[in-house]
Amino acid sequence: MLSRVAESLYWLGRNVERAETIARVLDVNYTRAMDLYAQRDAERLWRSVMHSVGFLDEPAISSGPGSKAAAEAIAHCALDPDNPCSIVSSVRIARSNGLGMRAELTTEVWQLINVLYLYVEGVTLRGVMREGPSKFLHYVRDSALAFSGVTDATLTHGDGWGFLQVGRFLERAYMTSRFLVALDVEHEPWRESQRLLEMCCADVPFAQASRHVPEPRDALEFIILSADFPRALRFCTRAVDAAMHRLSRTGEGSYTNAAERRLGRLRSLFDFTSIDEVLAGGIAVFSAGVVGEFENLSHEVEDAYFPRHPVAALVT
Amino acid sequence: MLELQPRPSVSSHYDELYDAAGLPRAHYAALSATLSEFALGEILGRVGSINTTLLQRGVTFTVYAESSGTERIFPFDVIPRILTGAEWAHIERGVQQRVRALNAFVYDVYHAERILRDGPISRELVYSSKNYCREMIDVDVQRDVYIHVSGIDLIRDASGEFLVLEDNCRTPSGISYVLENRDVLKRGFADLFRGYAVSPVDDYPSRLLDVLHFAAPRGIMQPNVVVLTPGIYNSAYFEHALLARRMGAELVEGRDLLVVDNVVYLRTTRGLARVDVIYRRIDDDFLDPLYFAPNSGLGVTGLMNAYRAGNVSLANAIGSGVADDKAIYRHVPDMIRFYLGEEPVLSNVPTFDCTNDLERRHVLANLDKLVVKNANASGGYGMLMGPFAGAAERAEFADLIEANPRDFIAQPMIELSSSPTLINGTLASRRVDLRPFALYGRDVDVPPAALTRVALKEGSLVVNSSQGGGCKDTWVLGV
Amino acid sequence: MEYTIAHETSYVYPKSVHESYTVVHLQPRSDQSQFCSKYELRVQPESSPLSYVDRFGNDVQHFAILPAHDALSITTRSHVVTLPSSEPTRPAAATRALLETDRKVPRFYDFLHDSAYVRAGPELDDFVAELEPPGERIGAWCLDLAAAIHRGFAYDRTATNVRTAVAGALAARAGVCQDFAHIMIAALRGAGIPARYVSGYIFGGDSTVLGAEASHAWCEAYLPPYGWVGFDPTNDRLIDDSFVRVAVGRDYGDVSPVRGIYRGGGASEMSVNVAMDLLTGTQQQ
Repeated sequence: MLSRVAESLYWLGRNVERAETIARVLDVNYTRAMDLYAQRDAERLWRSVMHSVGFLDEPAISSGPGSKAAAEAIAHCALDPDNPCSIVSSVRIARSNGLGMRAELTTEVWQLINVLYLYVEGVTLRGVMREGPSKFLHYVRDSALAFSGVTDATLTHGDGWGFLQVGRFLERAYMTSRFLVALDVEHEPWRESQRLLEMCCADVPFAQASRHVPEPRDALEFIILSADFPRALRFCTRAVDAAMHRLSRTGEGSYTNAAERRLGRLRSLFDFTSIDEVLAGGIAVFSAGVVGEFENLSHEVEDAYFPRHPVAALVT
Repeated sequence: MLELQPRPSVSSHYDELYDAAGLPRAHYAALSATLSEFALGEILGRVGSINTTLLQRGVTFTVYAESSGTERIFPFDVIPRILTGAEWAHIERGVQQRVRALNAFVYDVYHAERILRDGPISRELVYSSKNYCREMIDVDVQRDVYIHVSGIDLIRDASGEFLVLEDNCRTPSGISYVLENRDVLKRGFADLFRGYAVSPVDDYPSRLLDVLHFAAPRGIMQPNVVVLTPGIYNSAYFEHALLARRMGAELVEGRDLLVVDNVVYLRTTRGLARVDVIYRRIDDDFLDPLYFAPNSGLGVTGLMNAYRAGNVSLANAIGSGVADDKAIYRHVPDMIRFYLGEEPVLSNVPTFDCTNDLERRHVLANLDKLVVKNANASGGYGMLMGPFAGAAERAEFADLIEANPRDFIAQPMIELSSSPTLINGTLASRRVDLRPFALYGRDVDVPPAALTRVALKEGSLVVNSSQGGGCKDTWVLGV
Repeated sequence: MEYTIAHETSYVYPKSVHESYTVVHLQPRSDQSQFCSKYELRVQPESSPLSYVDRFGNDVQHFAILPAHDALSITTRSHVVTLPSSEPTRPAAATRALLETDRKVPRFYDFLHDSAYVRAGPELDDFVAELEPPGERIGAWCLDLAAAIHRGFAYDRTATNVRTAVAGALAARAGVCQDFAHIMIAALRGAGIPARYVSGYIFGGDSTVLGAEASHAWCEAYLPPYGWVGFDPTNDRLIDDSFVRVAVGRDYGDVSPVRGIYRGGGASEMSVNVAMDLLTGTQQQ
């Protein structure tokens, strides 16, 4: 397939996944913040959100009585067109990618993206906050989930779908690893591990999987090392690895490019490390390392399939 | 129930719906009857959902004058425009004849120049055309076909006769609206089709693909056809994507193609894949920076060399635009006589040549009665509607004409025919034109898929989408 | 006369470039006045040039270098015999009347109108006004025109560049062979005489002619009954067998020796070297 289309599918997968993740995270935290009595706790919560899905190293959140931290976080993470990682920006990028390969997409896939785009372009912060952000956030989340279904059900599962999968699972793993970095499990192990589960919509699956009263340590194990839960780092890494090997027509366990090599190392890390080993050095150190791994991995995927020349200007 | 506006007692133009006695024409009778059964609320509700569908599908065009990213749907009027089998047969014959002559003309001006040597067209006129492409001199194209796709704009004068208003021989657009309009109308207003046998339009993409296959370099059995678009910001991008999808062709941008040893390739994730035919929707000037506009990032470097070598076919051929220069338009009837030895089936609108001193003086003295058009512009840009223009605008055009007479032609104001159109809950009379599309492969094919554009403003004679025009589904009835 | 010509053009790029496509007009013509018996084109990095004949009858080569590269060199070696003519034709018998009745003239539309580098304008009118009007004896006027350009303009490499149209050189009253050819063409077309641009080489030998160290350029006027007659305004000479014609066109833009498009960073540094040698009788074997 066209290299440009492959790249568009990869970014389409990433951006739809990102929009869905941000929407879910904002919704979970907005609901939790309403339960918090201490203003300080809510501010800490929103600072963590701004850090993980707002991509801000030092988020500025208003504090004190009358703090509008929630609105500020939603404005930045959901609706700010100048933030390239906001929901609005992700949906715009996704739509622009979809438009650029309009001829490759089924009507069902295209229309889903276009309708989501038209919806997101039509909202304002004021309107979203007035009726409560859940309606907006659920719409985005549900559309993005529907996107997974529609792409799986209507696109040919060939190379194009493979690039979509790589983008989707790479983004998912990356965002999950970002949650881990912004978590405060040392101070509030129970509350924070429960929040993590909800942000990964893993609360029910986790409860079903654990046969005893769950400890925070078990929650971390589930999110990092589960081979069956579709948002766990191990699951996502395996999914990216499998998709990459289908694209290169090589067997898993070998490699033809730097991305596959890194994937092999990451797989064995998640496959053969115990949660105690993970926690031995501290979750913060571990998850910061993993975030870096996924960032490098995405550069390597891009280098392998979408070679870019530094300057592409025509000169006569 | 829908109120039909009464037919004016005196009319200066042809009414598609009513005959001279004020009665609906026979081919509109069933439609009138169906419409009279509709409740207004019902019809408006259905129109609303059609518009939502069009927006959600992205059947939009980009408005250049406004801020970037402004996408609009082309206003769609649900009342169809109906042509009888006999009317269409006449149009078909006329368009076939005209396109054959136009194609022969393009071949001729890049080869023997017979018509310039012995015929009625001056060398000056052709050589001074902005669309005459010198790189094409003595270059042979597959099967001597240049104008694979054309759109011939027709209007109806007061007597109902179809006249050619202009020829579009470069990258005419609009077919996507024909396809989409029919589709949404069938889904939203199935009842309107009651009592009619309407010719289908949805085989247009496969007929186009036939023509593109036929245009392939000789000896290639399964040609790889691609559609070349300037990209998502082009006003007709939706159409490029639709045609590519429906033909099963790759939709590519210039940066997706690479020329190696005079062969054009696609850049794919598995290396290079050969391209045989390019249905290009990029203007000549931007096709190859090596030979045309050097700063164009839209094109493909080296494409002209591959084309000259016969390793790739382009539709339409480079340089076809010389046939739709509005100053050359006036001579198309002469071309028909010269190349085909026939009398034109479809007449032209009378046209004044501003390079002729006598005619220019007449034009300048009668600017308030004439329509002035830029010889190379399209889309209703660079145009003066004399009777509706102010003195300042007329003076501005007078200066432009004096400075560059070759760039302008003038025509008398022709009343367009009118068709019933849904405006604010009533059926009002609005002016329409007609663009049939011609496909040139083994011979000229005119699919019964024509675009009717309608001027939505009362009394307006300008149907362009950029100037407040809309469109209608066009029904060609079986004979 | 018999010549060997070695012409080397090299480019060095500040940052590496890729997908470079180049078109060259470097092959000497073969026609009534000269015969090119050998022509070799070598490109470094290696590439295999392809060829076609353009609408002016010039042999054109083009080639592409796709991988990244930092330098490009293009070398040609040609062997050309120019027909002996002890005394070039002085086109004295050419008249306006003959031109007006010539049946070929309508085909020369492009040689009678403005082109990219040749544009009419007030500066040109001022210069032409310094001469006697052409009148009936247009052949004689062409000689006067070439002499006036030679006399009135300084040969100065710094005055103009390859993209300069006639106005720049007219304003500076200075330029190089390309500018003088363009000015003469503009003046000829302004007077209704078909005129075209010629690129090629001039053999300097021991004498001091201008334009011998690189590509040279001059112009041709269509003067019935002679046909196309060449004038070198740079040296105020008629074209004879010490000139080798490479390509003809409307102006420099049609026949530039090397032009190209590449992707990558920055403007290149170019150097050109032309060596033209006269073969003696024994070497002609």
